[in-house]
Amino acid sequence: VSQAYAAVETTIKKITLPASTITLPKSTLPGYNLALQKCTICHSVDYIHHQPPGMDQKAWTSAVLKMQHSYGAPLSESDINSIGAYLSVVY
Amino acid sequence: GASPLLSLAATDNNEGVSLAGGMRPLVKYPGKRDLILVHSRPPHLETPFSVFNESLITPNDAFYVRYHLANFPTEIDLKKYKLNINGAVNKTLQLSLQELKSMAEPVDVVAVNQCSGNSRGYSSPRVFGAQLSNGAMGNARWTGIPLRTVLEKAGVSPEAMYVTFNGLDKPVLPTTPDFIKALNIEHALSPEPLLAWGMNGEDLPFLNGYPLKLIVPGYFGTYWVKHLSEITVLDTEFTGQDSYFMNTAYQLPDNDCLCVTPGSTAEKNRPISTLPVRSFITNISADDTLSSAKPIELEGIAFDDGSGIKNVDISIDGGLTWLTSTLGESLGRFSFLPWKLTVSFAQKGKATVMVRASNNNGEVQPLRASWNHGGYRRHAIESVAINVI
Ligand code: HEC
Repeated sequence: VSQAYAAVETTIKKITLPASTITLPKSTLPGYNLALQKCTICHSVDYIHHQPPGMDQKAWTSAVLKMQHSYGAPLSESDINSIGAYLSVVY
Repeated sequence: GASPLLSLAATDNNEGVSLAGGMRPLVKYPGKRDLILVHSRPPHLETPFSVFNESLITPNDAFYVRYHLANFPTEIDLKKYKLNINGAVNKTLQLSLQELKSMAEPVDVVAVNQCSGNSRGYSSPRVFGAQLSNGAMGNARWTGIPLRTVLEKAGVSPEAMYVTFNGLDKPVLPTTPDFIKALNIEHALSPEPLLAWGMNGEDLPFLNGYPLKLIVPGYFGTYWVKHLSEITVLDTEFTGQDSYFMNTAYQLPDNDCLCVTPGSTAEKNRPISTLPVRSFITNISADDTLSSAKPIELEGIAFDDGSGIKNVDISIDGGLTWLTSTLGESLGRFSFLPWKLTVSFAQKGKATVMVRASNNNGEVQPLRASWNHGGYRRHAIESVAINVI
């Protein structure tokens, strides 16, 4: 191994991350498909799955609203309400 | 809400925290042993509490991992990596890691990095956010150079007010704030903050901020910016979209208790800052069965913001009477401090073992946790419910 080659090897560090395995609970509610599309843009769905149990529709809807006003999530008012309703039913 | 009394059994990755979606799996990430999955993209991994019974220094492969933004590098080339110092300075700097390492004699500090939301899962009533048990903390020996060395080299303007810190992690959408933290100029120029490349005698693990991390001893982990790439000196207030994680998130009520009645909001908030005094028992966990026939040596850790631990007291009767433990050798005022106490259980049946630390600043851990919207800064007395036979 030439010295130049060895030096190149040691200047680069690289990692490969495992894939997410957690999925959103299936539902016939309109919020399910919306959540699949919108809630994975910026992060995995374990952000949602690993929240406290028993949060009501008002609490879930305001959590979704926070994604829009704090993080600029592309969500309409009706998206926010549908997703909030779906999350409060499945969790 | 769940109580830390309920279950800390080794097989339960929720460590007593109930979740909407059920159990948190154990997962294997690069450079890490099996850790508890909080989130996968971006990675957020919690240290299983049993690790704190292994050693006073948290091993690199067991140290918790926290990111906020999913657009972060998974490949870093030291040939290309630069630390930029700019803003209200005489001369901007662009330093390679090698240049940084040779700028001054390296220094070491053993310091606790605790997440602001450590133990959020025990908040009552519950709050949204990462539902952490007690494992979002760790104690390591950090090696680097003082932050002020580079600031002095750049020449800080006499008008400077704040210094901001940005890492290589970026938001996925441009509408999301970047993760940038600020220290006031006096703090930034004090001897304590370090620019560290070493952790427990090795390079920083990739997921803990390789190749460079800001170390802010005595302060919550939110300030310990990872993959540090840009330091900006401000002669103004820190404002704008990218001040969100400083000025809007990570806030505590600005009052004496740093708390509010659940459901109400504080008139004023302020950024979270230093670590309150805290302690844990590390060699027993909930539902353990202990014998009344022979004495048992209890062991654990205490830490604070660097004021120095004064006493660690133990109660084995649910808080009626308290015994003073023996403090072990200190690895430095920002480190976990070990304590030990031999106790005997006179009665069989259920018992509650509690641990309470005080510090040289007159702080004592409270019996009941106060509440805030973020579920931040929990430091109430820990209780472990056991069975005596
Ligand atoms: C534009 C980006 C974006 C989109 C789209 C988005 N989120 Fe988030 N979300 C974030 C960010 C940023 C965080 C904070 C990440 C961190 O601190 O680790 C977050 C955190 C969360 C949290 C944790 C609680 C909290 O407030 O930190 C929940 C729950 C959550 N998101 C739910 C959702 C749901 C449900 C959707 C879909 C309706 C969604 N998110 C879509 C950016 C987004």
